[in-house]
Formats: sequence, C-alpha cells, structure tokens
Amino acid sequence: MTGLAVLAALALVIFFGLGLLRIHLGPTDADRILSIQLSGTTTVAILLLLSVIVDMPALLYVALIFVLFAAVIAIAFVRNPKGGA
Amino acid sequence: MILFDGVLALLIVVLAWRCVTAGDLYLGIVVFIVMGLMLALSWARLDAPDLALAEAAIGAGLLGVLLLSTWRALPGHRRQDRDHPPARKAVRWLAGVASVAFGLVMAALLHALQPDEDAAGALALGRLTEAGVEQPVTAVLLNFRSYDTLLEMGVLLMALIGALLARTPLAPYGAATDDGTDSPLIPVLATTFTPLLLLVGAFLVWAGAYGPGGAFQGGAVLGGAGVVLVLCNRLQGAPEAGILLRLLLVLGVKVFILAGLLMLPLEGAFMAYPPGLTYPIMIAIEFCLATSIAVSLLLLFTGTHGVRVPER
Repeated sequence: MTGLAVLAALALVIFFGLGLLRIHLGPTDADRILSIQLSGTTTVAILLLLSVIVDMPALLYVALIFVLFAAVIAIAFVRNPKGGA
Repeated sequence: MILFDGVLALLIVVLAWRCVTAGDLYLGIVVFIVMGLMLALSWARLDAPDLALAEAAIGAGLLGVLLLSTWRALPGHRRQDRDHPPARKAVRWLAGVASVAFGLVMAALLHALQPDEDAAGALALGRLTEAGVEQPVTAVLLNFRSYDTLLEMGVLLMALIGALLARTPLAPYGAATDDGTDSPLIPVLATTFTPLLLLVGAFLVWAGAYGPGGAFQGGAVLGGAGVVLVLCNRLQGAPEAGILLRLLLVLGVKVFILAGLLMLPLEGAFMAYPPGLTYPIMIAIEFCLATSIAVSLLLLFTGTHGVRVPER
C-alpha cells in the first residue's frame, strides 16, 4: 500500500514539473494563474499521500491551508485593490 | 522516496533560478508562489510540519496574495521593470559564484555540527511535562522561551508602524474593483471563504496545544480572511484606526505582559505560570497573539492605518 502511495507521489511530483512548462510558455497571464491553481491542486494531492506515507496527520492541515489560499490567490488575480481600474 | 526527494530538490532549484532571472514581474511572482508550494512539501519531507504550515500560510499564501495585489495596483500592470536595467554580466556572475560558495560553506559547516548531550533542545524535550502543552514547539514558544516570543510580537508591531509610515497604501480609501469583469463569483467567494478561513485559523491556533499549528500560522490564516474581505469590498482602508482596532493590535503584547506580571507575586519570577494553570493561560495568550498577528498582517496588506466597513 505504501509502495503504491510512494509511486503515486513520485508520479505527481513529475506531473508538477510538467505543469511548470505552462508557466514557462504562458502565453497569457490567465494561463499562468491557472497553472498556479493546477500546481496547488497537485501539491494538495502530494501532501495527502505524504501524510499517509510518513504517518504525519498534520500534513492534512497544510493541505487544507493550500486549498483555502488557492481561492484567495484567484481573487487577488482578478481584483484591483486600488479601485478605479 | 529518494527519487521523490531528488525531483523535489531539483524543482526547487529550477524554480528559484527562474524566480530570480525572470525579466517579467508577473512571471517572477507566479514562480515565487509555485516555489512556496514546493518549499512546503520539502519542509514536510524534513519532518517539520510546523514550518510547512507557516510556509503554506505566510510564504505561499499571504505573501503571494500581497505580491499579486501589488502587481495589480501598478499603473497599467507594467510588463517589465524598466526602471531597473539588468546588472552587468560580470556582476551577475560574481553574485552567482559568491552565493554558491556561501551555500556550500554553510552546508559543510552545518553538516559538521554535532548536537551536544545537554543541548537546549534535549533539555526542553526532557521537561515537556512541566510545560502544560503536549506540543514541543508551542511549549518552547510560549513557555520555555516566552521572552523571545514577546519581543517578536513587539518586532511585528514595530514593523507595522514602520511600514505604515514609509509606504503608500495598497488599498487606499476607495473600493476594490475588478477591471470590467464584474464576476458574480466574487460575492459567493467572499461569503463562502471568509467563514472557512476564520474557522480553520481558529482551529490552527487551538491545535497548537496538541500538534503542529499555533498563533503565527493560525493568525496568518485569520489575516487571510481579512484580505478576502478587503479584496471583495466588504472592508476597505481607512485613514484612521479606531480605538477597537488599536486595542486588537496591542492585545497580544498586553495580555502576554499582564499574564507574566500577574503571576509575579505567586511564582516569584516574570512569566512563570503556576503548574495547574499553565494550559488555560497559554491558550488564552495564544488566541490573543493570533488576533494581534491577524490584524497586523491585514493592515500590512492594505497599508492603511485602519479598516472600516464601506458605506452602501
């Protein structure tokens, strides 16, 4: 079971690296913010697997924080804090 | 697992490299946020869930949001930072070589370091039962080393005062807008995510007594709730801080000092807590610290002296 989880984590971290290509290539700002969201989701998945692999339930809290702040980052991307645009 | 760690380390180095060399401000910010994700993973692999939490909440989360909002507020979202032309090639090489050399020397020195038998860490772990909480990090921060934490709170307060004096507000006294795309999602996000952030923040503060978590991580998440409210126009910057806001700002420092002084006649030492009461006192201090941290971080985000509810 743990062996399978390790393999899955390894696959996910490699996919994370492939997702970085989208950040590198772009071409628009929206593509890049979406690839942050993708990286965030992948990181959450890796954290969930790691919490099983190394038996550290606290990593679930870290995953929870990433889920919440992913939304905050999306809001920060579309909103202009200064107003007036 | 070695392969996993290898890929992780490689990705962090690549991301750090891209973050520094990106010519485009926005690209640099995006890479910085993604690097925060990877750093949190690496802290998790290094058996430091407390640091992973702090990195997630402050490094990738709140700081990423601050950078993105700053970029949004720049006139016309400048693509390039043209005011600062790139340094000359020789200078860049010199900086690169010096950084690598410094890193290698530090790695060698730290690797050679052997912990003593009676080092502070071992002493603290040995006397954990006297600390009132089960979590070693919280015990050290709020009991064994509480002087240091008190002064850190003072530093945060001074940083806020300095920042407010020095910088122009990111969210001045108008309302936040989005350029043209008045998405119906924004009110939904504000009403869904603010309570969730508040709940998780409070949970993290409370969890600090039993496991990873604590005032700084929890406070950062609570501050994130305030940032959502500002971005979604439920709160906006104000030129003056009300008396309530000022009280919340100094609450952590005040309660910390008061708790230390009140126990002075009982225990005979500043910040020594009576054995039976250690847990409730530390939880109370922790929640007050988290409140002050959250308000400080929110004001650091808006860059204004206060916040208020906009008139409708």
